[in-house]
Amino acid sequence: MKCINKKILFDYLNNELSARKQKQIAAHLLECEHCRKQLAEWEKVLNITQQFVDRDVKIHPAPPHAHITQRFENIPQKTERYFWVRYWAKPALATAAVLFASLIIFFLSPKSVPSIDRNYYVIDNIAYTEAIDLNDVYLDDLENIYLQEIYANEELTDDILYGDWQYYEEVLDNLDQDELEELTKKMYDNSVT
Amino acid sequence: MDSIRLNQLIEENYQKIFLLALKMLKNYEDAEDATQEIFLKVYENINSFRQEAKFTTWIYRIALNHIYYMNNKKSKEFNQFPEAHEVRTEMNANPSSVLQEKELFESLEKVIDSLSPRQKEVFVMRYYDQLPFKKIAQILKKKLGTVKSNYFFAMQKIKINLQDQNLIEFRE
Repeated sequence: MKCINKKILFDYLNNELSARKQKQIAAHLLECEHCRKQLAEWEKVLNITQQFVDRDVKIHPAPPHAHITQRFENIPQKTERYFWVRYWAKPALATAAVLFASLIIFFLSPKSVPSIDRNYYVIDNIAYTEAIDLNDVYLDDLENIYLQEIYANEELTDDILYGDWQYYEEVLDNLDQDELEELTKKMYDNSVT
Repeated sequence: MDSIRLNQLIEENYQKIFLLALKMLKNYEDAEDATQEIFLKVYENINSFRQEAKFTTWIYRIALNHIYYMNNKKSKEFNQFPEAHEVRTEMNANPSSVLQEKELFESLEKVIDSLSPRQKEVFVMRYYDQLPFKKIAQILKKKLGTVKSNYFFAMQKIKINLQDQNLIEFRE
């Protein structure tokens, strides 16, 4: 049986998987010496890190701050803006800006606007179904580490699907584990690998 | 919000925000100043905040903005932005033995300092402040999977560092 992806094993240890996945992995661990060793290593690392953090918190107590608001008493609190400013000013300005920008684009740009060729990957590694935009600066860590790791490791290539991100973008954030699994299955069925 | 409730909310979050500032700024005095300034901002702007349930999210956003502002200021002044850098401390003379706790913790301190700002903020919120991933994702306005990945890579860096230096013994 194929060994468990280390990211999933890590999630298993942190109890971040669905009950069904936790059970599947527990069953695999009974049979696989290698994965048990990996798990024991992670347990050790997490325990030591926890000990370090506990000690660090103990030796760095927060500076005195009792009744801190009394110290701020002479500083005026900012008054709340008018209701319409709070709720409508930004949308109104944004709409005006969009209209203005659209007009500028309409008059100045060539008739056909070239579409941006975005390079997305959908990573499905059981624990996550996540789309990675390779142009996204937030994901430089993933680009540098995870993708390299995937390219270097044939076992993980199954985890990558080039998927229909437009559809998943809206739904990925609010899924519970079962829905995510359902979606993943659907994605495998329809994917272009 | 009345001042008693405000004091209570500040009390609940002061230590957490202080630890976040301390880990991100790597300096006790800077962290102390930053925490005070963050809570001053909270106090000044409390009238524009209404949903009490999301107080933690709001306060963490103010805190992270302020911390990154301070980091940028510091880097301009001293040209030493705490970029992620490789940490390689000296190898132990006897690599198979379990090192003294002090040495182990010193090494951990260094590797945590060397995490990228993105990894570190997630690591601190998760480990020090014990926030759930969902909350961290809300604070950082990122996807849950991205936050979990950041955390995983931070822990992986710690693991690799401990492994490379034989600081803890792994079974063969």
